Amino acid sequence: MAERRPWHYLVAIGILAAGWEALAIALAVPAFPRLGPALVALWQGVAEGELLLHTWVSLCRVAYATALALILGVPLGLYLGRSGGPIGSVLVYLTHPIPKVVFLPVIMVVLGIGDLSKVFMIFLILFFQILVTVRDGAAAVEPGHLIAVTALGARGWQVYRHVVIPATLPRVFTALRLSTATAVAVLFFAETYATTHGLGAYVWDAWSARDYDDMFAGVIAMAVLGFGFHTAADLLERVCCPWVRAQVRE
Amino acid sequence: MAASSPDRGPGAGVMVEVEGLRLVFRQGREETLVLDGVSFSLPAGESLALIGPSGCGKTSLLYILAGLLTPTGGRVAVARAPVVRGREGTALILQDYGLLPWKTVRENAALGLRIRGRSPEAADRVLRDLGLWDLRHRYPAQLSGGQRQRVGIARALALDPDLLLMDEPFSALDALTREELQDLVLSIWRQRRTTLVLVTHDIAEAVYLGRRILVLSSRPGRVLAEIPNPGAGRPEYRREPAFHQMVNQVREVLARGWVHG
Repeated sequence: MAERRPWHYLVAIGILAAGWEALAIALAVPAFPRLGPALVALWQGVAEGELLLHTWVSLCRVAYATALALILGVPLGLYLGRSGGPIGSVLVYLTHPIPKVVFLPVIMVVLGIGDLSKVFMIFLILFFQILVTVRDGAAAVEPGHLIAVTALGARGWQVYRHVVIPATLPRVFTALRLSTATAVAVLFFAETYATTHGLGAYVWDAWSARDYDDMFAGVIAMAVLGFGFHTAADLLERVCCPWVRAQVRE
Repeated sequence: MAASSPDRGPGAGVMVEVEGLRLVFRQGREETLVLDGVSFSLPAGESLALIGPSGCGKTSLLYILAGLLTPTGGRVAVARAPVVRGREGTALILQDYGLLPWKTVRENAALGLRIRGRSPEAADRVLRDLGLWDLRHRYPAQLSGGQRQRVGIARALALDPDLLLMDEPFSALDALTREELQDLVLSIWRQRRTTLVLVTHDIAEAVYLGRRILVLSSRPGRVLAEIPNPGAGRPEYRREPAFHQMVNQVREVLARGWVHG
């Protein structure tokens, strides 16, 4: 993939802005404002600090949920991919498609209606994405690499450390990029009950008040938040997987 | 560790002893006989080339010597002891994938030492000897095929092995690079007198590097001939008439085995 440069971002944002304007003009409904008013609302929200607070609250929820999903999903995915039998696979295939939202009543009863249940809801959805991606990555490790380290005397943990984990690491970052985008989308749902803070709540409130400029300011903030997570995952991958970008340089 | 019984045990100078080796692959209900009644012995400090048509089980035989595969029947001893996986003195050089893409040249070369909990310094020394020191921070993707296999050799040598196993190590390389690396292996063998077992399908390579040549039949692999090749082990051999005669002799044995096997 080619290196991204600042002008690439500008062109992409320009295409998005032009599309937005064209759609808003074509639709001509209050529920879809022009770009200008939405940006004004965004600017006011940021200037007053209110939107920043909502973004920060959402960011924390997503970050906690992602961290938890990684901590539990990566080791379990590695285990299922290497030594988990067919039972493990069937379990995953059966539980993955279940819409996790149906557990919300149970989660609310057990974990309350506060932050914990929201983080858990997001975690539950991310966990499966990370689990399945990591499991597939761990199962697809090059047999030749395993033979090479086994012949050198590696066993147990050493095989994981020298082959399985580094071979799967780029997939963890792929899973991370996919799931942070999902997480921001799930926010809207998780933050519509029992909270006054978070971007989901902000968008929901604006919608209820039919303040569509504010509503779309919140939508833009969600996009920026998702973009931020994506970029963070990219940077982290650069640091953790330098070999992925290593090209022939003569 | 239990030594082999004194009456049937190999002599003092024997590095590899294989007797009546049988290997059966089972896949579901299907059984495939891969190796059948293979016997040979190799004195320490000698070199052996295993050659045969593809599918004759020569790579499986090498994996058995490395302890990566367990034979179905027969007896295998390395340095007078039953084969164990990851034996201290055994080093294996593979055709592809031997190097880990996420480790630099230096980390790859030191991998065997690190796994065995030894200091990685010996790897640095070998990298310098093989002219790889300037490339030590590169990843395998940033190397040519010949450089990669050099690193594979460096990793094996860092362990200071007494038995070097090579599985078609140079078959993916162009002719010039291949000869250059064959010369490197030869000079290593001359300096260190490491016992060498080389699996190859390249007749010239077998004749150049193997002071004994074991010709295997097509599946199931049986020993067609064990040809002494005392001329091998010198860099000049490749240019001598005796070398070409030996190449022809091996070719004939292979052709006969192909027809009757």
